Amino acid sequence: MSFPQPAADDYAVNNYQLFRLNTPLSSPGDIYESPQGGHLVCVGPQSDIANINVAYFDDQVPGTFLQFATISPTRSFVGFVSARNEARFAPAHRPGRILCWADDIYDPSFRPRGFTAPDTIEFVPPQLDMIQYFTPLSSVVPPRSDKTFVFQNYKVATGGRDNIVVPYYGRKYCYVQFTNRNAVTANIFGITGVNYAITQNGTSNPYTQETAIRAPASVAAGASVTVVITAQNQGMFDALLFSVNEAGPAPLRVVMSDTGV
Amino acid sequence: MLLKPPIISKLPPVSLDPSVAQVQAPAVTTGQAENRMEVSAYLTRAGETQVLYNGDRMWGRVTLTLRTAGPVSIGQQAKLVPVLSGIGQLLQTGVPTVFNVPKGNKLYVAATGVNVIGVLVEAIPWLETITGLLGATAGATRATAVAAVAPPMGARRSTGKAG
Repeated sequence: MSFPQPAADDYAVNNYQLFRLNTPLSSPGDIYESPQGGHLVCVGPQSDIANINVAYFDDQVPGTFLQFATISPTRSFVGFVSARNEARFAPAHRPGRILCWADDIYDPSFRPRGFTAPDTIEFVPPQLDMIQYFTPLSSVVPPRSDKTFVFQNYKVATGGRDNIVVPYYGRKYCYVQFTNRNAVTANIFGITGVNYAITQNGTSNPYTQETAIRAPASVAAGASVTVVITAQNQGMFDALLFSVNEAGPAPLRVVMSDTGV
Repeated sequence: MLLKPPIISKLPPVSLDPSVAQVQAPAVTTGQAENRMEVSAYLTRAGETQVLYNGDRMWGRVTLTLRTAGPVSIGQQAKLVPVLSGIGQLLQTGVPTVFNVPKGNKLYVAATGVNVIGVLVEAIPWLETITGLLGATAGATRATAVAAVAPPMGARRSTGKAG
């Protein structure tokens, strides 16, 4: 999480009509707060996280007074919700706030099966983008912006493989183009769909699921590979993992969208 | 010859005789400050009731527009918390709410957090004048009526018996 997190009060004082929380995640446990009430909460355009939990104070929830709803690119939460700063959540006795956190799992400790030294792995941290409107709106259907990730050179140790993980939560379509611009050496390129799971720390057999979308295979010098991933044909994943075994140059372009074809 | 403008006091003529009951007459003039409008933004604080408008000098039409989500409570009582208790009236976001505040009254505000309220205060000096006139008229009418009904000072009350 970016620290300190953006303050909703500053948005209010500066007469913005909204509070936008746009921050990269560093762990799945990041929780954010807003002391401002709002009339609508929705997923922002830059969000990689598809499902966001929004919690608020509710006197009628026994034990905690914490009521929550999950918003997504197809479902915003419309209606006035007070932050209730004067009330206290139980049992922590913390003041009332509107809280939000990612409902999707993000695990930067994930390692693919067969990952051994000197393999390397890099994560593109998912962006959490949430917008809280201070003024009434009739309805907002917040589809996310299409996202493009571009890579061209890779950190590959001798004899190893480099893995790049990009967030793919809730996306329904992806276009992947990989071209080996190395004029001499072939590059073994693979694509794996990853669905994270909560696993006890240190277990040798994590519950994360992997789906081979393109089994690692050689791409000849100067050759190009194009892969289209759809929710209908391949499924839906939390992340996509791309693996290469040569440093490049090998441009990799990944374009993903919420709208399936 | 230098002509000076006539000196007009804002204070109406009053009798110095303490035995004469009198109602304060309306002001015949108004000062510039009393006609001045005020446009501002008010930032609420969490938890405490504060004075939003003090109408101790003049009648005023106060228009409040909540710019944030709230909740923000407005009322005439000096203690409006808890905000959602219903002691005051809750403002709605983006909806101007008008209060005609008589002279001598205050508007209080309470909120659960930082909120922005658009405040427009329009003075109503003529309402002060009308109020004064009505008061004076009513006072004079009452005095006349009392004089007509009451017996003269020192007169004996009739007991219905002879001598």
